[in-house]
Amino acid sequence: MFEIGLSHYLVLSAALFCIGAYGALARRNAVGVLMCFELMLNAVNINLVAFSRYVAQAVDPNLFAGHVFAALVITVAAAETSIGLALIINIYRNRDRINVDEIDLMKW
Amino acid sequence: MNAAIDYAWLIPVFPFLGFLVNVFYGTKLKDKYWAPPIVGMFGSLLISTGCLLATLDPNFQRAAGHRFIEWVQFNSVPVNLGYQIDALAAMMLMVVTFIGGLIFIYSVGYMAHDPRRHRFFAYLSLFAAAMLILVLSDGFIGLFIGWEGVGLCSYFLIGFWFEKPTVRQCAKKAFLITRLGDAGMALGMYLLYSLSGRLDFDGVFEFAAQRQTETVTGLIVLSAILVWIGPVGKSAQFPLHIWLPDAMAGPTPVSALIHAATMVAAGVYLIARLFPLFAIGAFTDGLSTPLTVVGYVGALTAVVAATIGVVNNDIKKVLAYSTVSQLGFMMAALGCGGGGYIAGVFHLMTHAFFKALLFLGSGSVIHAVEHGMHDAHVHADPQDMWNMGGLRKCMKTTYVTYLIGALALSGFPLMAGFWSKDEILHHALDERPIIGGMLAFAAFLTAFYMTRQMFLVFGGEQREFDDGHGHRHHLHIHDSPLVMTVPLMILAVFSLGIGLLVGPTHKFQHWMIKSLEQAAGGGGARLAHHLHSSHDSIPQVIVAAMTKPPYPMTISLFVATVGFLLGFALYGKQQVKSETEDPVRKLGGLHTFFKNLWYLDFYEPFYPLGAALRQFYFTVAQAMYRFDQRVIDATVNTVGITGHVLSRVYQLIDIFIVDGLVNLAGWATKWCGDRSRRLQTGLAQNYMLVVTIGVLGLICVSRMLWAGAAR
Amino acid sequence: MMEALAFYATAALILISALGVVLCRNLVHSAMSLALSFLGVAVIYILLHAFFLFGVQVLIYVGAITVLIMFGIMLTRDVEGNLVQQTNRQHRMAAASALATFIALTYIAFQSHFNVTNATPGDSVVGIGVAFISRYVVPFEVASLVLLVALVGAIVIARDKEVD
Repeated sequence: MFEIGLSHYLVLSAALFCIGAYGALARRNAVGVLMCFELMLNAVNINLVAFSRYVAQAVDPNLFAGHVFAALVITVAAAETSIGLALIINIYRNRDRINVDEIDLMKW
Repeated sequence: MNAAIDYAWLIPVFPFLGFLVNVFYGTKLKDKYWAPPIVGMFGSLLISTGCLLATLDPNFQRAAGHRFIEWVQFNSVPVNLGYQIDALAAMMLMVVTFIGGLIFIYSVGYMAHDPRRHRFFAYLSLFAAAMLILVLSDGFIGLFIGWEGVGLCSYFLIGFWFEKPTVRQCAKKAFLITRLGDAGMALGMYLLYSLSGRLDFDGVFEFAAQRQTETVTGLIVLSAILVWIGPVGKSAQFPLHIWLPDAMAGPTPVSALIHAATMVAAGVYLIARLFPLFAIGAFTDGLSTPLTVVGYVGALTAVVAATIGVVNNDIKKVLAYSTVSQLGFMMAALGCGGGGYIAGVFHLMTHAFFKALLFLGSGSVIHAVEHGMHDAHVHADPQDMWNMGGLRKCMKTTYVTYLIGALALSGFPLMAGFWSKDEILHHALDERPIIGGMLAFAAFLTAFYMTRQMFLVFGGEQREFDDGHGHRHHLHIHDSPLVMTVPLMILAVFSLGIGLLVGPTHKFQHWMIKSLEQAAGGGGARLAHHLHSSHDSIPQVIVAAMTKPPYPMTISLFVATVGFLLGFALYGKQQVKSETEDPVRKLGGLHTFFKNLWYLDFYEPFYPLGAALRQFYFTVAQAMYRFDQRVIDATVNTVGITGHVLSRVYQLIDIFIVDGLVNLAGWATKWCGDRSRRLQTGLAQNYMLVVTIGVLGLICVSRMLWAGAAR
Repeated sequence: MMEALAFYATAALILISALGVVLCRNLVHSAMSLALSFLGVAVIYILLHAFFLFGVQVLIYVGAITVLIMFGIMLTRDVEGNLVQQTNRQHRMAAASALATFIALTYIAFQSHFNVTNATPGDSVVGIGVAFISRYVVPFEVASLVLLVALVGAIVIARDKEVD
């Protein structure tokens, strides 16, 4: 318990991810969903770095694949967030509200 | 001459070819329709003449079995069709071809305006062919073929004007009654065949001559009588004589040819041909039974027919009854055996000539009277003698020839009929006096009714007719064209001459006796042995006949004169006018009796019977038709309705089950789709939730599947 | 000992702020919570010896993305105000599935066996730099492309259509 190991980080990452998942599934506001999305991505990053720290270092101390991956994830998250917000703004222009559960034009 | 014998088989072929040509090309021949038949008859006549001359040769041997065709085999016994020529056959050939030829020529004029005349000549040719086959045949089969053939043609020819219903009935009557006779004849033939196993005349005669037991003799006699039934029908003997007068419904040339000269003579010819058979027992125990039957029936026929002829008013019917009567004479003559045989055959020949002459003459008279009536728009029977009269002035040729024929028939001295009748009476009175007496009475009646007829038709003045406007005037009658009168003249010459030529010189007797001698089986030879031919000269013959018992010539002259005087007294002395009552009626009840044919016409009931039968058949047929219609309609309708019902059922099945299934499939799909599409809410968060749950599921599944693998 | 304390405190910070992000009605509050959680994550990176990522996290996430989200919130203010309900109809189901997912993940985490080591990691900055140039140069370049495209795309999408 006091010895912080991989599993601690894994649990932390799982919890953060699930909270983010709940938020992404439950929030009505589109921007809120995006925010929860960021939470999920952060959880994934934690996971990656934790594995890089505890497992990859056993193979090769200079193997920072996890870090690289996390950096790229951050990059892509930023890009995706910007695009997402652009879309949301567009939607807001047309509808004046961005409740996700009102955007159902692709329904049956 | 023997060449003619060799080619004698062609004799029936020529007329048959004429028949075929007229049948297939008749309409195309147009005005020359009479050419093939007459040419055919002429050819046959030539060959017949050749045969006759051959037989007259003293060294002539009877040619039999010439040129036979093997037709069929019964029980390994071959049935052959062959021909034979002897005196009898040669004589008949001459009669048929010569008189037939003259009648053909006459018919050209008589039928000139008939629309179906080429068919008439076709029938005439076929008849001639059949008759010649009959005469030439040397066996029962060929004879029967010819016999039936002439019967058939008689039906065709009598019923030639079939548009009139009475004509049709008469033709049927003639055919059916002769068929009755043919049935008996066939039975006799079968009996003979079963007894002897042979169907040719020579074979049967041989068998008869060598018969063994009493039973066989009795059976032969029975078969002879059965065979005789054929001539009873064909030669109109009592009681099957009733068809001959009705047969006058046909055209006059038909009556002349068939019912005077040839077909009716076929019966007499048959008896003559089968004489050795009929004469069984003639020489051992008196005259044989078959001949007795033939003789008595013949005599009876002669008398009955003569009495009916006396009271008849139709010119042709009188001649018809006269024919029946004369046939009775011939049969009676044959029935007296011996010399009667020759006398009968002789009378056959002479009768053929003058009866044909009389019929053709009557045809000429009817033809002229019919035209006269037509021109004056008078509607009366042209054949009724009471509508004629005084025709001697306007139809001279016909009158003279008819007179000659009537004299010959009555037995006027020196005419043909005189000689032959004299012979018959001679032998009849000799052998069977009863028959002789009956024949003498018939001869008296013959003279009477012929005299009556002559005076009614040619004597007195012409009748006057009412034309409906109150005027009475005579008809304009003129004599017939040459094509009709020339045959009359030729026949008249023969009627005059033939008796004279042949009779008293006994040449005929020689001739026939020689032929009989050669008949197979010895029966004919024995018969001939009993005949003797006299070598007396003509006057000696006449004197002998008049003075020696039984005085045949005296009797015949006597009866003829009495008959003539009576006729003259009743009909000649006073001018018979239209209103005069027929003196014959004075006989009262007898008159009625004779007029109704002695109430012997047993065929009369068949007319209504026939109509009733026809009606019955129609009713049955109609009933069956209706039944058939109903049953078939019912069946068809049932089938149709069944189909309809089935189709309705199928329709329902189709609508509810088949369509239902199809619709169900579609509806199920739609329903599934309907429900399924609601998954597409269009809300991204729903999809994400589903993904999450799916991932969860995957984790669990993989965990379960690969538990422990990561360890 | 200290490490554990730091970890637990940071973890609590992260989780509580994450809950704040998820549960707050007011979007601005959510954004603030988000920034706080980002900071927590950055501290976790320090604990994990990922110093470069710490820097990157703070710069990018806390700095840029939070601002971006703030802009987004402001530009898309709902006319009804902040008091609108923030949970949709499936939130219970979502909670259940999220919980289930958490349980599954933790279960797997505890069931799995990894080759764990406590060795001190090397210099991550250098290492990352070298990795980007040598081994991961393509993803590096592609990432720059992605950013370019996102940049252009965002401008195009969000452009005001009246201006031609």
